[in-house]
Amino acid sequence: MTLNFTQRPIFPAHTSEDNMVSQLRTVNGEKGGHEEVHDRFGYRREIVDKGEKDKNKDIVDLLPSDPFGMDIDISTTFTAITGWLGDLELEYGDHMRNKVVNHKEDYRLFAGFNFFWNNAMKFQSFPTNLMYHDQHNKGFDRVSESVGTNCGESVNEFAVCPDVIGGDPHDAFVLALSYLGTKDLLMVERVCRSLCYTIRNDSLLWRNLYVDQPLNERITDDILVRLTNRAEGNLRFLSLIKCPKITDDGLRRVLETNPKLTKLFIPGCTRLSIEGILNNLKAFNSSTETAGIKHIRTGGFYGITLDHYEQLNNLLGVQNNKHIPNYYHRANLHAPCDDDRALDVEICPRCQNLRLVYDCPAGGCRPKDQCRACIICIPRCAECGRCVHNSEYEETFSLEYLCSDCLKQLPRCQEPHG
Amino acid sequence: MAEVNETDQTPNLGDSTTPSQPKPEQITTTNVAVPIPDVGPQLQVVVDEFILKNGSSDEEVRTAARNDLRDFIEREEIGITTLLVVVKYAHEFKNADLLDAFCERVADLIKDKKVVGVREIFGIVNDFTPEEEHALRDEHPWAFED
Repeated sequence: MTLNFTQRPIFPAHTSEDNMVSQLRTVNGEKGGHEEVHDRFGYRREIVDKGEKDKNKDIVDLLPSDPFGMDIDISTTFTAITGWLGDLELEYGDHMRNKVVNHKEDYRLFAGFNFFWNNAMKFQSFPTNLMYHDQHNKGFDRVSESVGTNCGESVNEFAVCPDVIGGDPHDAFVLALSYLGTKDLLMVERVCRSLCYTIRNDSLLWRNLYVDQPLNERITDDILVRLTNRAEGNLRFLSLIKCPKITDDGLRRVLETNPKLTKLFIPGCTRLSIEGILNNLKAFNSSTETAGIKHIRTGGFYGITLDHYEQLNNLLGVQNNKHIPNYYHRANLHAPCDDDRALDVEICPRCQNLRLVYDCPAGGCRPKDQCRACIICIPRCAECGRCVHNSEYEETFSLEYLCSDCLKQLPRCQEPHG
Repeated sequence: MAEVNETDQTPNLGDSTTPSQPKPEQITTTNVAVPIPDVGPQLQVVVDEFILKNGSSDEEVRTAARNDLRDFIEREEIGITTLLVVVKYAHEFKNADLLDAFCERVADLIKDKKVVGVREIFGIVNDFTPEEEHALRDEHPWAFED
């Protein structure tokens, strides 16, 4: 740290306030000293540490001569610091009184210095008639109470933005809550009391529950039941994407307390069995208190038989075979398509297995209604969904197929021989 | 509190943090001009233009208008307070698309942040006691990386 304080900027860019504080702490607590400093300020400095009492001894007398082995005279360092702070007082004293200082670093610096140089120097103690709202002052009180702790910590709770009144969330903030996902809602709960209350008690926020990355791997049956209970029986749509810890029993518990559920998405939930689903669905859809689940997405169940398929169709009340085209896209691997179909699995026209079946999009191939099959029978472009077995295509590094048109759209750097 | 309409319309499931609430349908939107007293004239102009284009019967014009508004909000980095003011007025005037655009922006600013980050951005003060905070954190440890 340069000692020529007259040319130094008020806030040295590279010295963190923690370094300052710790240096000062050392300065206060140790022996060694020099008379020069005492004279400079014209009055005695009290020792902040409540161990030392020898009032005749100057604080500077307690200083080590060279605590960091820098081969410098510590008193000159001390002089520099105090002089520098004196400069601060002169220059910023006015600022503090009149203007809103919007710098977080300022707060910490001043808060820290205020604490340590309290009565020892005639440093501008933080006036309370500033243009901050009360919460700021509250925070400052906390800072002055915390002896020797890292001053930065308590200052973190500051509202720095000067145009907020009162430190409470804006009225319109709650309107944005319904645009947040599950994970963010749970996070915002911890922000303040009013938000916590709102999020926990507004059942409308929990009418649809989507569990996806990254919570999907961690969510258990108990947690799921707790979250669905927040809907107070009004849960309509439950989407569990790749939740390996959810069991048939957990799902049963959810269904028992949520009679209004109509949409259930459970692709990739490996502990759910087709029999378990069927049992749950039978119990749920046959109950008079429920309208019944009308839409279910399984993502394809291993071991699903024709019999299971027929039972599912019966339970879902699938009557007309109104065909809704379904197109393949790589996003299908992560999240199911949310359209009006009751069930996502079908009998593949080619292999007769029960799988997800895709159509060929417009501009695809020959008679489109013939180009319907599962992804194994007819491989498709991951981008546009067109069939690739008849046209030019390439398999990319991510082991997906791309048709020639979509290949051309790729940025060149992705393709080594583009 | 968010206004909810009984609709079957479900939000886009493409991203990882999907909203928990179906957005109000177009039918209940009133696409009238929303005079907002506390925002600058530039934003007011943009909002008025959006409302005008959003009333068009052409789907493409509407989509373009929405995208333009979104781009504008992002580009100009509209401040939090202004965003929330527009949200409030859009809600009052029942303009669902305007509400959507601005709420989504506010939600984007909240997404994937930590608790202290949200407090900082929105100027919210922590009024929990340390014990309460601890209890809250322990309630959903599974939801947070820390």
